[in-house]
Amino acid sequence: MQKVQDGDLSKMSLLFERHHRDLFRYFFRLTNDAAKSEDLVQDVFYRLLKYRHTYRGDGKFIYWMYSVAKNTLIGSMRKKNLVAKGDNEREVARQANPEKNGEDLLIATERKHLLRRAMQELSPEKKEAIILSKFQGLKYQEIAKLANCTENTIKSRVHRGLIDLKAILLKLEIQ
Amino acid sequence: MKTTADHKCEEALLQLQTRLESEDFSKLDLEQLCLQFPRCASALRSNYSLWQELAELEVPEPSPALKVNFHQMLGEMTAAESGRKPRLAFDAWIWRGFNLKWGMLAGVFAFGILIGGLVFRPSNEMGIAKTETVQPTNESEYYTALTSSSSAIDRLAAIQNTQEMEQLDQKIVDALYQILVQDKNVNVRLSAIEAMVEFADNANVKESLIRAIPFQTSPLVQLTLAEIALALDDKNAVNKIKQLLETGSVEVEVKMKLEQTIETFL
Repeated sequence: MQKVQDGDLSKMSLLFERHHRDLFRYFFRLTNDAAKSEDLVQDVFYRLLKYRHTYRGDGKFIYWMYSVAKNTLIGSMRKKNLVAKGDNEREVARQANPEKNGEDLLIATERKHLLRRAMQELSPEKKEAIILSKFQGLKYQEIAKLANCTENTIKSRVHRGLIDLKAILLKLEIQ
Repeated sequence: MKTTADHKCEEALLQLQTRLESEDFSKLDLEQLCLQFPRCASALRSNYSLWQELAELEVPEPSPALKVNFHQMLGEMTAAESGRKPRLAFDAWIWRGFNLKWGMLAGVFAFGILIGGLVFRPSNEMGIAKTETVQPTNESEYYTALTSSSSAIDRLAAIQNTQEMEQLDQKIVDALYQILVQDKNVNVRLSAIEAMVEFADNANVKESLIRAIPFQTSPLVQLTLAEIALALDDKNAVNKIKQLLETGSVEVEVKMKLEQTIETFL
């Protein structure tokens, strides 16, 4: 990143290669929309380049990257509610498994389907804490830094998120 | 009301959550935890199982287009960078917190211009000739352009022109401030903010941005100015935000955000 800051923008390709998949998965898990997730990844790298002078280099690059990612997503969600709800699950399932056809996927694994739905019904804060911790491999302390709160708050968000998830799953299974 | 057993289970589940952070945590460790909190064994197992289950949710791979688009964007930015130097290099403090807002502002701004263009489109050639704007060449012309036009599009153009100036004199700052507190068009106000932020190292501009806070009725402008106050780290904003809150013209969500902003300052 230092070289990018010094003006060698081509070095951003290395960072892109290293992180774009993780970033895409992060956005996909939050939005359930592959096309939007790609747009968001592109937007994040654009911002990383444009605002590279604001990177202070006093933390891991990924902290900064995820904080830009978070802001990008919030900005984008304010413009349009991206979060997939029940009525577009067919599309969600298709995007999650682009090689299979949509109809088969809807019934492929009911439990996964419900779990995915349940994840979307979690509050944004809890969902983000779970995703960053479970899938993006960030420590609670690191997530706390990103979210500007304490480690205990994050731990509690993950814990409460799981409890909520169980309750939502139960509700969905009964329906 | 929670019982002691509930509290213990809460503690047990929090412990589980803490330990799940480690990749080494195994089923054996889970069973040990269950032995330690026998009454919570079922909840512990269920949480552990759900945590593991989450990993099975598939995520597609990004399409090749993502890479192509990235390299295209990188190429364009590299070419643009090599061709120009920024007139005013913003420091980190001015950009902190801005990422969130400007994407949205740009969208609103572009939308406003589009709608404005459609609504106020001149009906004949004379009209077109009349709306052609001439680039001001001195402070007086800049000031006239800012204050004399009844058309939102012309005011937007005049505001945009100020960004070409090397410095803003007090007259122009005052004109931008008046736009910021009086203009009926939100896009024009946002544009004035954008122009003023470019010159936020000027104490008068900074003070005007803060002073304008209590006069805002648009949630977007209210939030934008609050974020700018934070970015500028100007504690004078606290009183101005309080004044704004007292006007009662603040939506609940914005109110929460503004209260957070005050807390951040304190």
